[in-house]
Amino acid sequence: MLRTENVTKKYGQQTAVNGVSLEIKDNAVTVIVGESGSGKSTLARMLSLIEKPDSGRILLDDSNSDLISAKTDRRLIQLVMQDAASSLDPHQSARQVIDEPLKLLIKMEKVQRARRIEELCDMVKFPKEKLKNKVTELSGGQQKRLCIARALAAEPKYIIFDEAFSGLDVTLRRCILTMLKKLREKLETGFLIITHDLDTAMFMADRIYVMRSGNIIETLDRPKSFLDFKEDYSKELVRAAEYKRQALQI
Amino acid sequence: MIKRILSRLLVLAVVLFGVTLLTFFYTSLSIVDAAQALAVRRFTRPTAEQVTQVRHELGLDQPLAKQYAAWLSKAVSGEFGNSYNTGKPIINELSASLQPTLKLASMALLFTALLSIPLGVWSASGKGGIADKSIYLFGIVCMSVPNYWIGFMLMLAFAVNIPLFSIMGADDLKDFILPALAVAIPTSAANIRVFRSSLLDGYNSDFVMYARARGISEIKIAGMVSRYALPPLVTLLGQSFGFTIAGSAMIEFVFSIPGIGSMLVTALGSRDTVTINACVLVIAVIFVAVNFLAEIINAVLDPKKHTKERVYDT
Repeated sequence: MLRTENVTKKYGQQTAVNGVSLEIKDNAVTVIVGESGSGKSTLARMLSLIEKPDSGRILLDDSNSDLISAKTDRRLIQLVMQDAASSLDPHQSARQVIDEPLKLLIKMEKVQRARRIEELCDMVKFPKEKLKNKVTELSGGQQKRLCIARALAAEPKYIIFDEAFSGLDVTLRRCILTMLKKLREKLETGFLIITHDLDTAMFMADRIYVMRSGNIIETLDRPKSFLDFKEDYSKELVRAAEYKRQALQI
Repeated sequence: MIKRILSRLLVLAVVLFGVTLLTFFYTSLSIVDAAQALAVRRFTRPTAEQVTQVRHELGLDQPLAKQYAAWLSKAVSGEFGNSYNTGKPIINELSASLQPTLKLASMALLFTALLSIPLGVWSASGKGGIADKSIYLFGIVCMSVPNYWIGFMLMLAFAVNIPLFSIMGADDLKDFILPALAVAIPTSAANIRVFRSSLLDGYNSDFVMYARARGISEIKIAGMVSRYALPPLVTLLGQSFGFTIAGSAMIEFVFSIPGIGSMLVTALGSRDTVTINACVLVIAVIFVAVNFLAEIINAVLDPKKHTKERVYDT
């Protein structure tokens, strides 16, 4: 289990994350939902060890020492970002992107790596004929799938998707989310999805944390419908999501 | 890529044509009559008939466009004619002069790279620290002084006070060390700033931050960043090689190197227009070729800039 204990992060006078404690279970999908500026991406950056919290601890499994001070193997927590293009090295081909963690982090032999790359392409439905292409020659959807394949290649315990499905068109988003849901059933990897989209949260989540102004204001386990949300702010998010759906239908 | 190279070559051919055209017509505007100058050299006090005869021999009595066409058709095959000044074939003088200049420019390029890369890395890795500030100060000072002054100082230090090198001559490679350093020091001062800033851009880029977060080692990340940061430096190095060839006259004069810069200055002094045209054409060809090479290296190093149109989800 990946968990935070009273984690706080400030930028100048602004408190981005305010004493947040949460748990991300193995073999489950945890979703943090909230508006822009609610602190969810800052929390994701701290969980992926890109940023240090000002106070509080981030703990892995039963360990009692903080992830950063314990110099935890970064391979265990992988990231998939919203802007797939900027998170990929423009000099690499699609094959090199997936090969990199297999070679450097898993230390797999060349023959095994070639086989594993094909398996990962099948898993994320990345077209194998595009493996030789430079990442800059891929479409947004292909880059996203490539980032997911790269994260899976590292055989992590957790994958954090930070607004990874924003900016994709509805069809492609549904397609990638369905693929991830199926993957989740096969793998033992815990997923943490950071999103402002309540539909994505409801579709994927085993647990939802609602975040506002740096605080967790509501936690829902296995929500069945939007009616499960009790807090006023959560209900506002539900109404906004309904409005968005109606607007899309128009 | 091949299509891009071919279209670039076409542009370069047009550039070279423009250079020859401009140089030829500019030299023809000179108030000194080349036929008169050569006749004076040949007959000391030439008569009007003798000047006319020389003008006819040189083809200077033809219309300017015809003179240009005749010169260009010969120049394309490497035939530049004989120098008005020495009477010897220009191609022989050019090949003799080009050798020391190419040695000087190549060594200067090497020194520039050897100074720019490590100092750029050092400056970027200690951003805002004493090393960074000292390198910045060194750069400002070096950029503010002309290369011939640095040449004199180097000569004073390492040829007069500590006699490690000879003051003049271009007999062996050792003779090129001080002039190459004089060229390289001010050039690398600018390059260090550019390389430092590209390195910092690379280290601050998203893909490097995420690579670090994913657990990729710092050595591997340094490799990623180098590929990201090198293209601007390669462009600058290519340009500095061209500028060294084109502007070598002063340093060649200071160190008494019989290079193409000295040849050009001598030709300018004696209004030897055919030699001027030949020198300018050769310098332009080298300048353009080196920059073209830098562009190809960059295309390999930086696919982001040279990639074909991205595909979109359908």
